[in-house]
Amino acid sequence: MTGFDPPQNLWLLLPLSLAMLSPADEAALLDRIRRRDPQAAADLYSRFGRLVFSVTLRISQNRETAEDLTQEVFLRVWNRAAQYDRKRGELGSWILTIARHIAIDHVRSAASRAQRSETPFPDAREHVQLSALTTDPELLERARRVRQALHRLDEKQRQVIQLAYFEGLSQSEMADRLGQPLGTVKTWTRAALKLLREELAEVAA
Amino acid sequence: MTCEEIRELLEFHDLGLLEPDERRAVSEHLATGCETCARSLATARELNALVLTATDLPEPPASLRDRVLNTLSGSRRPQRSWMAWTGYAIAASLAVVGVWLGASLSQEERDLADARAALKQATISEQNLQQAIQLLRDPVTQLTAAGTGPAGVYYLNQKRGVLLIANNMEQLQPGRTYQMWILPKDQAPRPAGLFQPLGDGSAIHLFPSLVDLATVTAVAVTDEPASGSSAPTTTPFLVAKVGE
Repeated sequence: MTGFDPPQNLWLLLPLSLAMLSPADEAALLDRIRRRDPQAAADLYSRFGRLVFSVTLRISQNRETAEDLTQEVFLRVWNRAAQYDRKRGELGSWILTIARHIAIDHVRSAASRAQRSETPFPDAREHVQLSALTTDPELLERARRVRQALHRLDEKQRQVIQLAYFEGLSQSEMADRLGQPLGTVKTWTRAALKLLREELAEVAA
Repeated sequence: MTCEEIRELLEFHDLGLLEPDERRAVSEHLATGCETCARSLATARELNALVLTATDLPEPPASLRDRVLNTLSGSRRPQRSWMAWTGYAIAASLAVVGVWLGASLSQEERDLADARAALKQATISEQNLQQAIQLLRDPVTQLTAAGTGPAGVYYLNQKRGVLLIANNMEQLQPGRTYQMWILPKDQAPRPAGLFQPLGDGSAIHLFPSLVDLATVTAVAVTDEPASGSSAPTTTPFLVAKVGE
C-alpha cells in the first residue's frame, strides 16, 4: 500500500503559493477555462495538479486511485468553472475542496476502506526542501506554522483532525467511530482547532 | 448563537461536517452579513487549505498530466475505458442475473471510478451523473442484463430509478431517438426517457424516478421519432426481465 514512504523523487514542502493567483490572473484563467482554451487546461494542471494529487493521495492512500481521482477532480473543475464564485474563496481553496470531497466520497466505499492503512501526519522535520517556485514568504510561513502546530497536537486532537479533514467524519460520526461521548470529541476538536487558529493568527499579527 | 460560538464552527462548516442544526445556525448567521464572521470564514478556509496540504506533496507521475489533459480536451476516454467495465458488468450479470450489485461493485471499485469518469464524458448532465453514481453505489441496486447484438445492463433502484449502460447500439437515422420503457405488470409500457448513442455505439441513459420494482416485469428500448412516443411504435430490443 502506498503511504508516505521515504521520498524517492523530489518532495516539496507546500508550494501552495503556486496555487494562489492574483484576482486578475485567476479571472483570466477562469475565463480561458470557460472558453475551453486548451492551453488553459495545461495551465490549470500545472498550477494545481500536484496539490490535487497530494490531497487525493493523502485521503485515498493509493497512488493509482489518486491518479483516477485527480482526473475526476479536474473534470469537475473544468465542467463547473462557470459556477465558481470568487466570493466563496480562492480558486485554489475551491479546487482543494472539490478534491477532498471527491476523494472522501471515494474512500467511503467499503472496498476502499479495506485497502486503507493508518498513516500518521508526515514528520515536519523531513522533506523541508523548498521549491524555488515558492514566491510568497508570508504564505510559506503560515503553512510552516500550521504544519508545526499539527505536530504539537496531542494524539487525540490529531486523531479528530485526521478524521474530519481526511476521512470526512462529523463530530457525532467520530464519537461513534472512537467510542467516545460526543462531548469529549467536541472538546478535543475545539482544542485542536483553537491551537491551529492561534498559530495562524500569530503569523498574521 | 453568538458570533463567538459561530466562529468555533466555521472550519467544520467549510468542510461540510456540521450537524444539520449547527449548519442551519451558521448559514443563517452568515446570511445576515456579519462582517466579522465573514472574515473569520475566510480565515477558516485558509486554515482548512493549509491543513489539507500540510503533507508532503509527492510528484504525480508525468503520465497523469497527459491523462488529465486528454480527458479535458475530450480527445479520448480515460485510460481504462468504461467499455471494459461494461464488459465486466455484462459478464457478471450474465453469470448471475439479478445478483445484488453491492458486492461486485466493491471488488471493482477502480473500474467504477473509470465508469464515473466515462459517465462524465457521456452526454449526461452533471446532476444526472451524480444520481447515476449514487444509484451504482447503492447496495440495494439490482442489475439485469439484456441483448446479444446491442447489449446492455440495466441497474434498477426503487428510489433512484433505472440506469442503462449499453454498447453495440446502431446509430440512429436522422430525426429518430432511442426511448427506454418500463413495463409494469398488466399495464401499458411507461416511457422512461430518450437518449442517443455515442459515436462508438455505446450509450448511457438514466431515468431518475421512483420505480415500483414489485410491479415491474421488464425494461426495454425502442427506436422512436425524435420527440419520443407515448407508447412503443417499433419492436422493443434490449429487453430484460425484472424480478424473477
